[in-house]
Amino acid sequence: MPQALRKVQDPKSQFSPTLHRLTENHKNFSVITIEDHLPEDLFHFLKNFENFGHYLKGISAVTILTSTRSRWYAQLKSGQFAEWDSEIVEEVPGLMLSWQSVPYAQITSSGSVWLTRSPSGHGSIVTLSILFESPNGKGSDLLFATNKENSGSLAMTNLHRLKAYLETGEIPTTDGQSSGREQLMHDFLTTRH
Amino acid sequence: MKALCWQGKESVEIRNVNDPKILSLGDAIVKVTTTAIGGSDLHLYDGIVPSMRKGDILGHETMGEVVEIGRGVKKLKVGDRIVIPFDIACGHCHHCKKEEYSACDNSNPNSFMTEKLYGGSGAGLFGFSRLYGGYAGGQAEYIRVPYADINSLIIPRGISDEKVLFLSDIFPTGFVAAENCQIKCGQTIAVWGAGPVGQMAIRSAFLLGAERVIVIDHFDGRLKMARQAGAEIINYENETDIVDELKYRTGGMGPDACIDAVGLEAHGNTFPAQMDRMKTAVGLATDRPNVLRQAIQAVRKCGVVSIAGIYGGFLDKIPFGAAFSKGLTMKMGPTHTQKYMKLLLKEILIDKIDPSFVITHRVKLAEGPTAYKMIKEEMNECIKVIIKM
Repeated sequence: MPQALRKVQDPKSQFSPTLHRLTENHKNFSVITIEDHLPEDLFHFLKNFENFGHYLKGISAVTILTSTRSRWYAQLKSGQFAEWDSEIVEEVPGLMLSWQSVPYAQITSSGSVWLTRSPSGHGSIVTLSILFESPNGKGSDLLFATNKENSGSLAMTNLHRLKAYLETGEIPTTDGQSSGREQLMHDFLTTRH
Repeated sequence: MKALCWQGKESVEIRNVNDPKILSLGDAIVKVTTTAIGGSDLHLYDGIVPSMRKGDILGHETMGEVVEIGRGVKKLKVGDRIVIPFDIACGHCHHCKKEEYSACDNSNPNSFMTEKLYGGSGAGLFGFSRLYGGYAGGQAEYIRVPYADINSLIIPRGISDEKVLFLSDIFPTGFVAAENCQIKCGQTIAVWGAGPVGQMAIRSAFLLGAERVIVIDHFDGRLKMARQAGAEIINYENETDIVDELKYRTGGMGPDACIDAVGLEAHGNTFPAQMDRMKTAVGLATDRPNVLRQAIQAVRKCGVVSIAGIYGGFLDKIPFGAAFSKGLTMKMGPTHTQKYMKLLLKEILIDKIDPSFVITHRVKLAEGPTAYKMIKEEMNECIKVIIKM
C-alpha cells in the first residue's frame, strides 16, 4: 500500500483479543496528550490504583489490597458510599492496563488505558475507556452516573483531570468559590422562616 | 464581601457573598482596588452568552493587592500589587509553554462544554460563564486567582491603578489586533469600532508604524477620541457604502489591513445589518457579523483581516469567496494576555502610552448596576467605566 494511504496504527490494535472483548460494551474511548510524562512513568503512576482517588471524578478513594486487587469507594446520590473490589485483568508494562470489578460487586466497573509516546517525544498519548454501573444497570445511583452512551464523556473528563493533575499538580476547580447564589439561598431560607 | 452579580438579562445586582478562599495550592486571594466594566461584560448583560447562572460574579479586568497565598505560590507574596489577566493559564501545558495562554489545556474545569461546541477548549476566563470555567470575576471586593504565579503582573509602586489596569485585557487585546495586521511602515489600517479595544488598537497601530488609521463608528464621542489619536474618521450614519468610501480614500486599493473591534453585536443601517438583527431576534442566527463582511470586502488583495471582537456561534452569509479570491490572511482569537503584559507595562513606564485616556467614568461598586445601564444607554459619552473600591 502506498505510504500516503497507509492508515495510522491504532494503539489499541496491537493488544490481545481479550481486551477487545472486554471493551466491546463501551466503545467510547477518549484520547489526550500529556506533556513531560513518558509512557513508562505514566504506567507506574496508573498501576498504583491509589492515585485514582486523586483525580478520577466521583471516586473518593482506592486502596490497594494485593498486587492485582484494589478496593474502590464512591459516593452515591443518597450520600452513602459504595465500595467494590476490582482486579487487573490485563497489563503490558509501559503500554496498557485493563481492570474490571469482581463478580457480584456493588458497582460494575471496568476500564482500560493505552499509552504511546507522543510525537514530540517528551510526553504520552493516553487512550482511556471507563464505565461505572450500579446493579440496576443504569448507573443512576452514582453521583457521576454513566451509561454506554456517555461513558466517552466521562473518559474525556477524567483524562482532562489526569492531565491537569500531572502537568500542574492540581485539578482546576470552582467548587466552594464565592457566588451570589449564597445570598439567594440565605434570602430563601430566611423568608420561609 | 460585596460583589456585582449577574441576575439575568439586563439585570445585575450587588450581593453579599462569602469571601473567596484558597481552593488550590496555586491560588492567591487579592483585595481588589480597581476593576472595569468591559464590552464583553455587556454581552453577558445582554443575555447573549449561554450558561450564565444567576449569582455569577462578573468582571475580568481587575487589579489589587495580594492578601493571601496558597502553599504552591512561589513568585507572589502578600502585599504585592498585581494586575490580573482576564484569561487563566496554568503555565505548564503544551500551549502555555508556547505562550499561547488563552488556549491553556488545563485551566477550564468545564472544558467538556466547549470541546463539544468548538472541537477544542480554551482557557478558563474570569467572570465569563460556565462555558469558560465559571470562575468568579473581579467586580467584587476580593477575587480568587488560580495559578497565581502565572496569572499576575506585579506593578511597581508609584504608578496609579488607572494607568496599568487595562493591561488585564483591552490594551493587550488592542495591541495584538494591530500586531496581527503585520503592519509595515507607511501602511493604512482601517478599524471598525471606536470602543475601548478599538481605541487601543488605533494607538497600537501607530506605535507599530502605520501611516494612516481610518476609524469607522457612529458615536461622535468615540470618533472624537479616535481623532485625538491622529486617526481619520468615518461616521457610517453619514455614508451609504463604507467599502466604497474606504476604496476611495485608499486610491482604489483598500486598506492594507482591517481590524474588526466590534464582534458579534455589530450595528449598522445596511440591509445585511438589518437582516442580522432580525435573524438574531428570532433565533435564526447567533451573531451579527456585519462588520466582518465589510472588512473582508474592503481590505486590499492579499491584505489582513484582524478580528479582535468576540464571536461565539455560527456566522451567516460571510463572503468567504471574496476572502479566498483576494488571498486574505485572517488572524483572530482571545488574547494571550500574559505574553504581552510585561512588554506593554514597559511602554507605559517610559511614557510611550498612557491607557487611562480611555476612562470616561469612575464609579463605586454600589453604583455598578446603574453603570451597566448607563453604558448601554449612553454609549456616545460613556466609553470606559472603572469601579474604584
